[in-house]
Amino acid sequence: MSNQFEVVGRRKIAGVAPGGVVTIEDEAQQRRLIAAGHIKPKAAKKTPPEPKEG
Amino acid sequence: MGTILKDCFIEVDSVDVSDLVASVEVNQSAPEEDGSTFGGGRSRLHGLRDDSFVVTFLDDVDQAVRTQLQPLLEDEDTFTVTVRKHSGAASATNLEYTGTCKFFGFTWGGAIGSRDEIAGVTFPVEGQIATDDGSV
Repeated sequence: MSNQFEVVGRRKIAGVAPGGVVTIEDEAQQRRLIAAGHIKPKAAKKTPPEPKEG
Repeated sequence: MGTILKDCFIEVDSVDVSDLVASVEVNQSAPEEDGSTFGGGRSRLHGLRDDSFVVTFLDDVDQAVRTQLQPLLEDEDTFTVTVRKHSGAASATNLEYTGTCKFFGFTWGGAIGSRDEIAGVTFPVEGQIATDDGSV
């Protein structure tokens, strides 16, 4: 899992305001903060499909 | 001239909980042990440091405090608690106190008409509290 998370609650996490992206290295802490509804995994960027040839 | 505490910063497990806290204590202490020996007067030794943070939380309608504390209790793991007198960055006039803590439980409840608080929540520190004046 990536260490980057989106702050989704109402509180600052490690100094990052809601809506921002925070880096959490500790997996146990990741679980706790997700369980408490403070963060969620950052959505992966959608890559556009390659154009079809012909 | 004295000052009034109005803007303390409290972070538990990287979560800024300042707006849920009604009081905070930073306890740094070592017990005094008797080191007296024959042939001398009273001598005192510093025992093992026994630092802690003690917080009184006021819960909100979303039970934010209990939501925050429950995983800390169930995980039985260490986490960081940080306290500053002001919400600004650590500095020589705004010391930051940080400790690696464990959590062993809390009591919630109250009488009709009382405020919804979780008082005396203690975060004992593994080792001792570190202070930072922002110079590092």
